[in-house]
Amino acid sequence: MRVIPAALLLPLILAGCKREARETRLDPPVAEALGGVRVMANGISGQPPMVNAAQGEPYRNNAYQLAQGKRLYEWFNCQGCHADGGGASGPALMNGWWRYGPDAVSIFVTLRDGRPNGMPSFRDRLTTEQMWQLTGYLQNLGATVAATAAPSRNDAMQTRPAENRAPAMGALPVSPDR
Amino acid sequence: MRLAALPAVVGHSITPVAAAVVDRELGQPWGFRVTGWAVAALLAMALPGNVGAAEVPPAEKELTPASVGQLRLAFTFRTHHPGPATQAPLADGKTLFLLTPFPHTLYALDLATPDATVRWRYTPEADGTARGRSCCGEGQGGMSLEGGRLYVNTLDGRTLALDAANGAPAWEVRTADPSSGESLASAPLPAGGKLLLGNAGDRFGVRGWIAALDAGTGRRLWRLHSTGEDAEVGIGAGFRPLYPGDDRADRGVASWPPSAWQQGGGGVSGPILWDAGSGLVFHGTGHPAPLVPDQRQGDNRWTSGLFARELETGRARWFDPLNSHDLYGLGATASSLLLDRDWRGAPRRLLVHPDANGHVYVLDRGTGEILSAEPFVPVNATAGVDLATGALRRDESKAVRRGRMTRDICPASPGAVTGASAFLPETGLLYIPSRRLCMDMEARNANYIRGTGFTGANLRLRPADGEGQGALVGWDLEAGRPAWTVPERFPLSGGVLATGGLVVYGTLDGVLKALDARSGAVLWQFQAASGILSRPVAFRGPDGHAQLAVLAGSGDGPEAEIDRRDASAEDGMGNVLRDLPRSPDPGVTLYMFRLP
Amino acid sequence: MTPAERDLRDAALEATEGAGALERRLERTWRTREGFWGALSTVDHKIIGRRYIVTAFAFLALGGVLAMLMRLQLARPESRFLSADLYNQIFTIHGANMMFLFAVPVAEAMAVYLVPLLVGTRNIAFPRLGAFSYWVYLFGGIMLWVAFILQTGPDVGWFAYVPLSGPQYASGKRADVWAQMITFTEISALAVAVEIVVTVLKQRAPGMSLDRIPIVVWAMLVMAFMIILAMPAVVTGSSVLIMDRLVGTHFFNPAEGGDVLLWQHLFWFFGHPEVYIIFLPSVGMLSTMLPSFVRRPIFGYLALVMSIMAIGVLAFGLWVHHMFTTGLPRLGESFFTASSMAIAVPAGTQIFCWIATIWLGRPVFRVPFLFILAFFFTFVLGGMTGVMVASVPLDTQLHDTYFVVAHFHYVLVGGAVFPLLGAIYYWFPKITGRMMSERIGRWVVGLLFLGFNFTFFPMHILGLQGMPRRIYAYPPELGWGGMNLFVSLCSIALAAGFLLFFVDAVRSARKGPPAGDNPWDASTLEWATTSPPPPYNFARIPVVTSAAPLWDERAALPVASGLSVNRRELLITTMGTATPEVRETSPQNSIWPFWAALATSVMLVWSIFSPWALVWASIPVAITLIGWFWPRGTPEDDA
Repeated sequence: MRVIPAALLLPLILAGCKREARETRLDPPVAEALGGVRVMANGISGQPPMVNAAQGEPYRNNAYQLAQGKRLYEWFNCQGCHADGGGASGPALMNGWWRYGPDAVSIFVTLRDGRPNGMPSFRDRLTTEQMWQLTGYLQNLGATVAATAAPSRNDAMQTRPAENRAPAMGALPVSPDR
Repeated sequence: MRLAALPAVVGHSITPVAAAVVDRELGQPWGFRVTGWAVAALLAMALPGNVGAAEVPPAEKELTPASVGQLRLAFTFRTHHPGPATQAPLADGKTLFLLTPFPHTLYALDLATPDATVRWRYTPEADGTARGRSCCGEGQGGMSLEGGRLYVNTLDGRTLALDAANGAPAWEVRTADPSSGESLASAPLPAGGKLLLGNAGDRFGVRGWIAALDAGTGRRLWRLHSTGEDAEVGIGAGFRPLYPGDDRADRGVASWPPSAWQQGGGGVSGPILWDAGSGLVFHGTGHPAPLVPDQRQGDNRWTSGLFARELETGRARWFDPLNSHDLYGLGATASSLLLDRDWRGAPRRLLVHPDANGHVYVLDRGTGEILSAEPFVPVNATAGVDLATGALRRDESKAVRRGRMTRDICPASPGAVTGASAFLPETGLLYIPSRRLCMDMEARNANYIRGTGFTGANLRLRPADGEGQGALVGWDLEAGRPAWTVPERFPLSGGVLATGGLVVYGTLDGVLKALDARSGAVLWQFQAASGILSRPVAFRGPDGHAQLAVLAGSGDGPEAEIDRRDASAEDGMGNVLRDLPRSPDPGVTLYMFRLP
Repeated sequence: MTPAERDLRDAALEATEGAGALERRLERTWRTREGFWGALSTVDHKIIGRRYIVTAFAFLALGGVLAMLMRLQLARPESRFLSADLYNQIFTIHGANMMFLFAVPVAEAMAVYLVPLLVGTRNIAFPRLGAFSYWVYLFGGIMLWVAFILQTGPDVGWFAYVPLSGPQYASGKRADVWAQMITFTEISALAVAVEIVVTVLKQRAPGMSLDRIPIVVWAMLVMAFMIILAMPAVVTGSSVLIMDRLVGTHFFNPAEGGDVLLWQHLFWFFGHPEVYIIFLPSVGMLSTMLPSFVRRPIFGYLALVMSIMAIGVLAFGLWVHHMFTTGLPRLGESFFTASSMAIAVPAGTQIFCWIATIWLGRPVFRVPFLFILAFFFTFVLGGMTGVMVASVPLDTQLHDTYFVVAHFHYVLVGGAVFPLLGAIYYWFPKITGRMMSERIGRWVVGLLFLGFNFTFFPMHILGLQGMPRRIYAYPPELGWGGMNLFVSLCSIALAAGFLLFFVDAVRSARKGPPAGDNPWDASTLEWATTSPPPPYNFARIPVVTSAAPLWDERAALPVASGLSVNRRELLITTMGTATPEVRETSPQNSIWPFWAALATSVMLVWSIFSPWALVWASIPVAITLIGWFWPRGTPEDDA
């Protein structure tokens, strides 16, 4: 009888570990392995590096990595074209519509190589780890359900609900074909 | 009688166009689309009040307040381009030229045929990078017609010349580089055998310039910048500084922190004017980059001001710093007008410039002296212009500092006016399409990364007061105050057409309106299927009847991918446009009206 | 029971049933049931107080382990023993644990155990609230330590300044764990504070007028009032911090109209009285112990009581001295410098009273007295460095350096822990019935005194040399390595002293020499009953005729009779002269405080993750409170 409550608690406990661990300095082999992305010929999707899964998908689940992604979003002028996710000269990132697909590899490749319609390449400006941090943050920005690990509001002008407050999608995304 | 002819509805929704008319789609045979509104329109037209319209009209008919009610939709031409359409069509007797936004297609429509067949069409090469360089209804290139040639600026930095008769390209040059964020936002100006154009890209930290090409060959004759050393700006022997301090050397470097002028902005993205009599060219320079003022301490010459340059060499004659050390990203690129009128008793050659900072500047265009500067929208960031120094009297509580949020700054960042104003000598009124907005601005840090937005400030716009976020201001030029104001629900960005006692303009929710130029009364309206960001044009068709054309398409279709739940989207406009209804038919569409 | 049986009084009993009958009946009425559920449902202040003390000392030991880890890391420059993130969590939890889970709870624990005995009543007021308070405290402490084990331990400093602990810079749930730990400990502290105030003011033995109250009881009373006035500020701050982080309010966001300094004001308005909440009970205990070791009553009773009250009041006027480097107006800084120095006056008054007491008496150098002497030296030194940092120019140099660390450890360890350990040695016989070892106790005093001073005195110098606080490593070029190594080595002596203390306590509890009722020949009321006291404390309520009742009534202590023996009853007296007013029922054992504490804990932990917890989890809380307050149906309870 006593085992059952413990068994219920265990996943919660482990989730807490993964969410809160703070890896401030990446081992060099891991950092190098993060670049091992295999991309499909059309530049969309592919296979993420194995080390992501081995580490427990930190760029999706870890609060610290997501918060770092949010800092990078401001530091690298993403707001200049994409505002706080609402879009300006660049498309919106918070409406749940992904031009090149919602998976992490597509977003990572967008950051690394740029895209034809004006998205610059950040290959020479961000480390691979930073690109993954941004990728995880962007997936959170355009997510349908707010994650516990999602970052909270910035100490800045309030432009939209924080990522941990409201899911990104209000209405269903609209396909350009319609 | 006029009212009964209204086929459209005034209200909150944009409804599909009543189409008991020819709907010309490219490449498709004739077709009819009848909607419920068409039935209503037919019924409306059948009302007794319209009986008089069946009488035989006179051979020629002008567009006047009396006749505007008889305007009928002649045809629509749908380009299926997502938008936003900012360049007005050009009419040349028998041909109507249409330039879509980027990626551009240039159409020449034959006005002689009743359904306006496409005589020729031209699609220049397009560099996709430029798609991410234009924001929020800003201009995307432009065209002008001169001497049988069409001169086109494309958003991705090409300037071309085409033969207007058949669309054959004469020459093409690369003038701007979109990879750095540079683009061309307005039409080139043919002037005295030259072609003048300027770049856009203030929000990307691109150094602004104005250049003159040889109109025949496209060879560049001169190019001068908005920041930098005097030689690169064109400040030389002929320059007559208006205010103390501007006589010092290299102000375009000294009024900036070291090397900040290289990413200083000041793009010449608005229309350029030419005064053949004096041989001077007039243009405004855009706002300095980045938006956060603390990173560019100093007066930031020669941004946010008005230049007068000699056409032949480009050398500057005078410069008016309208928004010195621009705190709010306003720039001075709104359209100006050259007028020769009496001013306070004496005949003068004027330059009238309603500025983004909310004041109507009246200048002597020979010397640049500011004769009058009065506010035409609610302004609280400044308390007027000191005519002795030309400087704005700034309110310290509306200063913008890094790490601080300043609230309710009026006017807000895209400016109190962007679209072209118009003037009617018979009324003496200047018709200004204005925005009545205030903003909260939070300045942060901007890092310069080539090709990315170099702004560094969060903006959130809101209405200035309860009386409409936009207004068509009928400004009494001599008196320096509004004669009348027509409030609009949304800010006005398109230009204004003033002709024959009428003022015609379009709104963001797609309403094309004609007002009486003297009183401001609304005489005629039409509901388009998408928002209107361009200036309507009026001309005499080949059959001698007056025609009115407007290009609609606000670019808020699905391809725009703007999510207005973020209040800072579209440079803060997202907050203001949340109630803007979605266009039922968002593609760029030409609407042609004629008097029967 | 028939009404006659219910109202059977102790006076009637002796005549009818013979010797020992009173004790047997009282034992039956007041006892705690055996077994697991009996232990969970007890409302006996002695059992709860003992648990509280043991738990608090367990947290002290855990916090001490963290301190040793820190010293191990800092012993050498650029050491790699702990990562930066782990170090951040360790110093945060060391501070939060010591301040919130040890220092205040142990003072309250001593109060819960001793105050009813000292004032001569059967049980503390609102005993079920005390049980609730203990469980909430325990669950809150477990939450903090479990979070630490799960890498969710707070890492933002024990005072969690915004914006570091705010939503932008503290990612994840770590700072929320800290904030809810505050809520847990605040609830438990407030509960006990209320009990203390009511017990001291309304349940004193007849004749214990205000000028006969033991000084420790005065100190506990002032501490309780300070808790009631100060704690709401910090729980407001922590709740509002959770709101900022969880639901995106803007209390601390300057861009949208909030203020970062608001946090510091809210926290330190509590934080400064907090250190006096920790300090006053210790000096109270000292004032009560001292007469036993100098064989004369305390000198300057009125001055001491007035000083305690003055400290309690003045403590609320000092808080800005923690904010001298935040750019406040100079007039404010000057005022708070003056008030920070002013509080040295009542503190000094107390010291002089104690010195006079010792001077005029005949000292008996037993372990508690040695702790008192250790206190004098250490606390006075700490007080002097306190006056130093009260001056703004010096504080601007020393803020956030190891000088401040040295100062507050001197006043807290010297001022609160030494008297506390002395008090443990003093009252251990009463609590357990056995004496602690005098020999080992002397070793403990020696090791602690020398170990503490050698560990913390060099930190003054390190602070003056510029070593900042809360750094996990330092470069060798700065020259701090030698002194840090010395400090770390001496901290082993300090740890050894504590270890020896724990060993002695555990051994003596089992096998120490039996103590008897009054081994120290002390003068206060708790020594009038057996060691350990029976569940009902006193067979008959004593009547007090002086401030030292056991000395002035050596032959036989006068008692009051007339309390009922078949139901739980105690005596309520007036506030001023303690004239008996009314007989009041004391609650029976109850399991509901435990369930209520569990429901409250679920609500608080869940609300770290979702604001809906406040809605859904308040249902079990309401159910348990209904169970708690359900009327018993006994006439005297429903009156």
